[in-house]
Amino acid sequence: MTNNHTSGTGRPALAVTGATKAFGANQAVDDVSFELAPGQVHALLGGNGSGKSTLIKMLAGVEHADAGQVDIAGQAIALADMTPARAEAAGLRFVHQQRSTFPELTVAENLAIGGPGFPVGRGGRVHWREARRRAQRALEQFEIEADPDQLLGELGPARQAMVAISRVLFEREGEGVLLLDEPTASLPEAEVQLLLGALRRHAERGQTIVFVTHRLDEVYAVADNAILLRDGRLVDSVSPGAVSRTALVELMIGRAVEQVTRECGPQTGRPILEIEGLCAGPVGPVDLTLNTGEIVGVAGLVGSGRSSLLKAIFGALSTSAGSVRLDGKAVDNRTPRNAMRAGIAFVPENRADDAAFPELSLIENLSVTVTDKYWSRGRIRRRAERRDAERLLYDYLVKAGSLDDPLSSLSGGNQQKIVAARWLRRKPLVLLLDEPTQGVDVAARNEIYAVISHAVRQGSAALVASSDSEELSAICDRVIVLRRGRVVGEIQRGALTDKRIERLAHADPDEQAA
Amino acid sequence: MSGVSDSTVGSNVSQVSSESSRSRRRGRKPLRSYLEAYAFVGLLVLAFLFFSLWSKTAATFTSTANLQVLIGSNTVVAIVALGALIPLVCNEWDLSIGASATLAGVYAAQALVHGTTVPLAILLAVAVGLLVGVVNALLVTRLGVNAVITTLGTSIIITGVISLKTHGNTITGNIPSSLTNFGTLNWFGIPRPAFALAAVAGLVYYGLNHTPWGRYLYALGSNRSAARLVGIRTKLMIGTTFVVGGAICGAGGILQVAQSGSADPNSPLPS
Repeated sequence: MTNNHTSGTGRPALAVTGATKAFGANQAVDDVSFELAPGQVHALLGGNGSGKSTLIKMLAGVEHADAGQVDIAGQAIALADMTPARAEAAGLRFVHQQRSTFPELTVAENLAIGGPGFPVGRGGRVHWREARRRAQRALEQFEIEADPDQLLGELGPARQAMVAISRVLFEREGEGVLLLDEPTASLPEAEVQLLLGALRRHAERGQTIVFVTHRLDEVYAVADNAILLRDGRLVDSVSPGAVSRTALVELMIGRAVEQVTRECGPQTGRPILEIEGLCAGPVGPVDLTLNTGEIVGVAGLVGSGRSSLLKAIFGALSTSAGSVRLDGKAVDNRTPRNAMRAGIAFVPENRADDAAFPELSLIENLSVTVTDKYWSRGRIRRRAERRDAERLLYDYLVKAGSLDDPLSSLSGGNQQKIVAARWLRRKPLVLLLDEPTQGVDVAARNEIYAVISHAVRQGSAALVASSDSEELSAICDRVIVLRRGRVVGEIQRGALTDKRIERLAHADPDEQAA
Repeated sequence: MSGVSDSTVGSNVSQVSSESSRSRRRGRKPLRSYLEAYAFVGLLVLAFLFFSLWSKTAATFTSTANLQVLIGSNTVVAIVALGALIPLVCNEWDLSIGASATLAGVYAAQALVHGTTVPLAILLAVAVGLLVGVVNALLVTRLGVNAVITTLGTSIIITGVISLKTHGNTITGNIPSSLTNFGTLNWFGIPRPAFALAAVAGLVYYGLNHTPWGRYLYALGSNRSAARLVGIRTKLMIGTTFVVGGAICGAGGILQVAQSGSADPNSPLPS
């Protein structure tokens, strides 16, 4: 089962030996060694805290390694000495999870910085016209709908990701190794396919690619080789073609995981959220009713208004028309604070920008939605706060060193659990979740689904916006599909499949989708 | 919540609980972050030690009189700095602190010269500082003007107002001795203003660390957008930081008057 990477083609494109890194007592990466055959797509798979992101950061020179060596293009570099400049010089090209793009600069500028650089003439003057031309070529090659002079921040996160990837691939094909950390997180199906297709084409042209992912579909679709990490150690390195999905998941997690599917429950809930004619930003008018005990999915392509709908309900986006009623009472959804007090909770799509307080401790991150609860007799009751936080860490199975650690020290998936926990502890009436399992591995995903189901069983309702149709079809009672801001269809449990969601999301409203 | 544990977790639970028992102990911040946070204090301590031990200054530096002067002459600056600290928690700069304190001092001194009682004058100084804070707050949160630009602007305007009121002359004479005694004498060998500083510092510490208000400010400073999405009233909170900071500057202003027995419009209070 284990691949022999140096057979046939001779020298491996990249060889890592003995990579090790510990954060205090936490052994994040423990003596990991592997080799990559050139011209192949390698997937780096692993659960929360398995060390895959840390490993990539070590290779990038962004995280200081304790030990290890990397051999690339005939050079041997000690990982402890790795710096971004050295990595770049050695031919390692990265697109990180926390995208290092510049929202305040234009697309053309973004494609140049961190990529091939600006075309300069005498005295270092930038040839802007040439830069713009190059940007236009890159945008066409990767089929990104954007203008070279547009500010990157104006594009949605999906297109920003594509720009980040294209800047390292453009004009540099075949050289070195391309390493992508969760490139498809928050990309909808169509764009994932586009990206994977591009990666496949590059591999065929001889580019060696490594990408970190949770999505097994992608591994099966495009990877020649899957490198599995668990708890910082290398478990195995297998060819996806030779391994079944369940076996792969087991290798990843170390134990069997049951797939969660929503049981078809009787519709006995009463309407808890009633939205009429809601118009906000790109979405609307939308009519929607949520009943207690329901999990309703919101599907649609990028720009269809999924996130905007949720934000509008929560008051994070200003509503131009329409009404929101919670449990029969009108809700003033002008500000998040009002929505919160009415009993609505919102887990945003972009955790780094909109939900995480990275320097604050886990306790503070968990209690930020309920701080007033601990305020009594002129003091914050720290011990009660700590006790409750411990309980939450336990309940949500968050792997963390200490409660006083900053949130940024946690892996992405664990951070997401903390964000979910801080809302669910309030026992909201309606839970709005935007891409709740992005950056979360299979086992943790199931845990989050279980958490949502549990909350909903207690009498609340959940509205889940997601670009992952499979996820929606597994956990939702029904799914509404948006297209260009309008609801174009609703699929009930009995007829719910990811293919139907996709078709409806893509279809012209005039055509009939199944 | 136990519903989560039973279905899919199994062995993970015991693993997590053994890890959690370790986490029950408070986490220790790495040495480096302590060094970073206290570097400046460390430098001061080093300077202090140097002058205490160096033969040329050892005798005079460590004398009571010198220490009293050292403490006494820096309390106003320290209080004003505390005033600037609060908006800084939210990543907002208040550059009008010096001018605000001076303005408060000028108003208070004028009032005292015309016979106002000391408690009332103190209130007046704090009120002036507070008012400046309110103006800053409105400009920054309602009009959305960048805080650096706003407070720079208000400080210039305030300097103009001071000029108008004082015509460039120091306000002196008739400052009640009850006030100047506080500003210049000692209690238990420590200059009295130091106690005022301790009180202000204590209040600021309490506000920032032991109230929800302080927590919200740190959250705002950490991620403003996320703070809004967890229901924190962003504009109001940031506004309060300027108001509270301004009030503290006002207190600094009256202390300055107490220490020097006058209000000097040209005093080099930091901005």
